[in-house]
Amino acid sequence: MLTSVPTHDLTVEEFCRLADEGAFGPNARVELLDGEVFEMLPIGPFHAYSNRYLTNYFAWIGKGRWLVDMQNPVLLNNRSQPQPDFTLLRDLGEEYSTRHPGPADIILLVEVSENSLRFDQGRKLATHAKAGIREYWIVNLVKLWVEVYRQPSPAGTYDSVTRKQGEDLIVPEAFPDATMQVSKLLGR
Amino acid sequence: MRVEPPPYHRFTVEEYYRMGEVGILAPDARVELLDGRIYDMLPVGPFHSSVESRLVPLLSSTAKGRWIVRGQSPVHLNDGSEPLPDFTLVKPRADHYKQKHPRPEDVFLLVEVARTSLPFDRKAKLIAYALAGIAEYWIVNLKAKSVEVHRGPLPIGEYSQMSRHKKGEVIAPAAFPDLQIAVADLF
Repeated sequence: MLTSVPTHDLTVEEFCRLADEGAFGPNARVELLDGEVFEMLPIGPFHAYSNRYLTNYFAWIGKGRWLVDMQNPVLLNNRSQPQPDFTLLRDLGEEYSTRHPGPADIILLVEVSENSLRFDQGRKLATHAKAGIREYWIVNLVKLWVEVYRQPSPAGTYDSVTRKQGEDLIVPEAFPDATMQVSKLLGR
Repeated sequence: MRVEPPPYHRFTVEEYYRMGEVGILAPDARVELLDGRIYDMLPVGPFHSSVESRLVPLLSSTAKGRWIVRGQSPVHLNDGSEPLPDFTLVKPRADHYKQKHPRPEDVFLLVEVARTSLPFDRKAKLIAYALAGIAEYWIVNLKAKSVEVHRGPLPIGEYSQMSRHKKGEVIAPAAFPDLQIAVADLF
């Protein structure tokens, strides 16, 4: 722990109540991770490009095997409700109209990362692993590569970590035909 | 590589009070707001309490109306920070700050008694107090049985002078040199 004094945890329910009260302002983009509220940073064109590429590519190649989602909330546990840049979800018909997707529903979770790398590689990664998110990608816009994390462990780490860049192909473990080239994903 | 801090959402004092009003923070919650983040205050063991109990008369007896002693009461540092230091010596006011909590310019001396919270008191709290211009900040280090005296707050979030004092030494705040406290008397 960075500091010896714990921050006060909010539950998802308290967080939603605060949001409903307007506590975060009309234009706030906030998410809850391990009981603490974080700002979602503004998205520049480079970041938006990758978000859009992932969404359009996976939607086109999906053929009904999954749903694509961009920046909607996922409910990881009682203290965490982040809004990942991109997720591939199991198609459950109308079920998500009554609840947010949870770890069992998430085939792939992607964060496109420029100014929040340490956070995405650190606290977010640990939370995802503990929640059992089976595959987590960080599209690293600073280094121009994609970090592929698989085999989450309850200790808060991923046992398999690889890095792909340039003409390397990346693919979700669950669907080996859904390959894409890193340079295409980044647009450079 | 520039290391950026996590993008914490920083609550304002107003939002913090509102959370209390709507029951998200319990009325008896031991929490404080520092730099927009809400911290749970750690439980206080008997050694900690005994040191506080010794400090009360030591800080009060020579006041002669020149200051008011407050225990575990808020100081309003700025719009994002309202900690509850263990003790503050503040400017006298007839209404005893009934309308508004003391501001940094009202504080002669601020004291934190620290055991498990020592790294926090030396880092996050020190930075906040220095940035706010709290003139003098003492950390009573329970484990080492010493007192760390910080003076000369700088706008970069540091104090320009720091000294450590142990049993056998006598300390006094710069504002009131006659308020003399023997470190041995604290433990």
